Amino acid sequence: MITRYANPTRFMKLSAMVRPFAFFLAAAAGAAGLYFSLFDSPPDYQQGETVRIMYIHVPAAWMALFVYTTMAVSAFVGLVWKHVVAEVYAKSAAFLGAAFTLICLLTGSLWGKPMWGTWWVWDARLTSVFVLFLLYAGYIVLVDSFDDEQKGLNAGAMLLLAGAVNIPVIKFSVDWWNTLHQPSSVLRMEGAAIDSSMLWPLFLMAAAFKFLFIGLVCLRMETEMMRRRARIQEAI
Amino acid sequence: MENGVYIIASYVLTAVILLFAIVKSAMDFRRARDGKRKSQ
Repeated sequence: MITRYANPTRFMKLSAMVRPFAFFLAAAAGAAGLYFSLFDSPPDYQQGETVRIMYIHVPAAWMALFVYTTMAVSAFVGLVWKHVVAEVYAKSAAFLGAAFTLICLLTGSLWGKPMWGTWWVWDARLTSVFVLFLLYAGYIVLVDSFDDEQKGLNAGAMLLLAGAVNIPVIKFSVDWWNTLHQPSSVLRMEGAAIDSSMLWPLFLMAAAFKFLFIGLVCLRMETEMMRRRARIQEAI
Repeated sequence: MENGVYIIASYVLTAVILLFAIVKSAMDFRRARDGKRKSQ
C-alpha cells in the first residue's frame, strides 16, 4: 500500500476521483449537522443555548489533533522511506490543520467568555492547544525557509516529530492538571457523558469537517505535485 | 437568545476561516494547473 501510492501519478488519479465525493459528503453532512446543531438539538440544562458553540468547537479540536497526528506519521514515513506522497501530504495538510486549530482557539474563547467569564486563561489545555497552533505555524514557515526544498521538508519533519509529544499532553491535560477547561465528555473510557440528542449533531459536524479536510487536502496535494513537476521541467 | 452574539460570532468566524481555506486552496490549484499547461 505504502509503495503503491508512492507513485505521484497514481496518487493524483486516486485523489481526483476521491475529491468530488469528499466535497459532496462534506456539504451533505454540514447541512444536516448545521440544522440539527442550531434548530433541533436541545439547549443545555446549565449552559442554555451557548452549548451550540460545542458543535463547531469540538469537531475543530478533534481535527486539529487528527491532522497533526497524521502529519507526524507521514513525516516519519517521509524521513525513513523518502516517500514523496507522505512529504507532500505533511506540507499540504499543515495549512488546514492550522485553520482548524485557529477555529478551535477562537470558538473556545467565544465559549469561555459567557461560561467562565474570561476570554482566555493559561491553563494546561488552552496553553497546549496554543502550542499546537505555534507548531503548525512554525512548520509552515520552516519548510519554505530553505533554498533546497528537501532540506526544508526534512527540517519540518523533525519539528513535527518533536512536537508530537504535545498531542498526548493536549488529550490528557485535563486529567493530569487542574484546568478551567472541562474533562473529556465524548472520547473517554466510560462512554460519552452527553445525551444522544446532542451527540448526533456533534458527529455530523465532525463528519463534515473530516470530509472537507479530505477534499481540501487532496486538492492541495495535487497542487503541490503539479508545482513540483513544473519546477523539475524548468530545471530540465 | 441568551449569549446569541457569542454563538453567531463563533459560527461566522468558523465560516470565514473555512471559506478562506477553500478559496485559497482552489486558487492555488488553478494557478498550478494553468502554470502546468503553459509549461507544456
